[in-house]
Amino acid sequence: MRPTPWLVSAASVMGGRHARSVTDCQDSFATHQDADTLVLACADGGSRARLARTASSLAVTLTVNRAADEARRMPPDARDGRDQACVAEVAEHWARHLDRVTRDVVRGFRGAAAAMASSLPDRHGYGLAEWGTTLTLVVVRRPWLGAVAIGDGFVVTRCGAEQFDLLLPPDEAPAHRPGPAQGPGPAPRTGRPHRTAPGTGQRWASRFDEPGRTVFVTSRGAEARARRVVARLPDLTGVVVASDGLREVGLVHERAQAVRPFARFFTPLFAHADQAAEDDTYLARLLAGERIAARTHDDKTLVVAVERA
Amino acid sequence: MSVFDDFDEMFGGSADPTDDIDLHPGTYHRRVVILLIDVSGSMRFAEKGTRPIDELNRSLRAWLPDIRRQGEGPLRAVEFAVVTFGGDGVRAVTGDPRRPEAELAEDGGVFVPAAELDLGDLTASGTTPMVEALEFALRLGDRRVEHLADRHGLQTGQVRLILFSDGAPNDELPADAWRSVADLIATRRRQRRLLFLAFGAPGADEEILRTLATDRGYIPLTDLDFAALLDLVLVATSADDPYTAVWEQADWDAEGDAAEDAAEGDGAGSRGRRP
Repeated sequence: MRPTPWLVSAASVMGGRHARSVTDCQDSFATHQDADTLVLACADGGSRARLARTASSLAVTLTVNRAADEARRMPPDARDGRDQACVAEVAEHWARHLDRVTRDVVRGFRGAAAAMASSLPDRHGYGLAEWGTTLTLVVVRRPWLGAVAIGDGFVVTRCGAEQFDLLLPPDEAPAHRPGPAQGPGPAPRTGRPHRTAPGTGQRWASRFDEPGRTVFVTSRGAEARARRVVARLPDLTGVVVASDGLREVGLVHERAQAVRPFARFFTPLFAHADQAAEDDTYLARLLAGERIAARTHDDKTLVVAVERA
Repeated sequence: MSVFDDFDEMFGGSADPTDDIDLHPGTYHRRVVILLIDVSGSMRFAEKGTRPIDELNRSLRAWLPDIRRQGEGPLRAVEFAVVTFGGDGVRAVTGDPRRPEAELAEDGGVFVPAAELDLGDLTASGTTPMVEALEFALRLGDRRVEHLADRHGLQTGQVRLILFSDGAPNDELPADAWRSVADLIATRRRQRRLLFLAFGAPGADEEILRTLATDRGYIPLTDLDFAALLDLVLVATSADDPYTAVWEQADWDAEGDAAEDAAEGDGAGSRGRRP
């Protein structure tokens, strides 16, 4: 059997907060790949949601299945990667496909949660409020990558040997609506991702907003508040999808906003992934290690995909 | 390979190869915590041979090193200001309290990172200027949040104001002056700018503290176990939902005490009970 083009590793580890309350890890992840498509998904159940673990697991399962189905309908690359109009057209198709996945997942999830709530005897214990979870999705069909986040997960890409970009930051505000796909040519620069001006309907974070409060799949307006980015990355060599438990250790912040990946975190992380065997547990060891546990008591999830050599 | 080889591999002393993955040292947010401590004259009256103020100082000396240690880890985003109120008036006792009031909330003022929290021994005397203390603390919290946002662009979340008292306000103010500060607190709470917890020791005016903090934020203590109180303060500082977490801890403490008391045949009370 032909090996798949990506080597994928993933781990979810319970944080100290849940260890103290004897609650299981509320993060989940799921992946899918075939000869043409890579799908990665990660979800973080809300700490106040009684069914958080179930919710995050359902979210990633629904998402990966739906995204894999939709990926087969995503357009091939532009005939001429230098033709901006062609590239823009392909990007627009990708955006519509991702929006369809988002819509179907949100509606399917809510439907499943509502059905569960109505079919179980204690309706008050299984209502929609107990199903809070974030969701972060990446779909890769080279050279294109699409990412969607509901909530505060984030996506980092590696292009070439060591060019890292925070493709989808964990912050909902300031506004980060999807821009046009990046054209052909050099890989995207490392630095601040493009942000549009306010007034596009996105909410600015208040200084009194508690860090950690975020949008859930079950939140009102979740579809409209989903953050989506589409990029053409011909020299993509690695992708990371992560839950917000790792934002403080893996991202650089300026004025409380995550602006770029912390290179000294991601360079060795990807290097490990490049060399890892299929059964390597390095991610689980990293996330469960004392250094990260001392920094954050959140549950933590990392999904790392690198191009096979 | 034996099972012991597996253990060696898992727990052996050799360095983990993931140790070369650096963690970013900074933090992107700040949690502002203000402790308001009653050091009025009642804290000098010895009960069972010990003065409460001495017990408090003893417990603080044991508690502070743990706070500083946690300030290097899970409390790295927390900063404290400690304010006492008693016969010497309302005084900040952390950082540099000698500055003009308008500068106390700036960097280098009375707010210190958890990793640097330290206090000298507290002394008790005089009346209980609780209203003045609460007004001072509210101004301090507002200014600190504003300073952190404007100067450093930091997101702080709601200010956490934690009060301990064993009495009632007796500022040199009209008897119901506390109601105006209750309104200030309620407004901030409604605007999601403030989380307020009040711990009332025996002798505290429960009606006033319960009005200030609401049933949710008022925790009545049935004894002066300052070690347990400071544990609750730590929970109130570190938990995402301090109200729920403190009540869970207080109930757990109470159940543990009741179990111990039952085992020893002693019907003595326990630390805290939900109303």
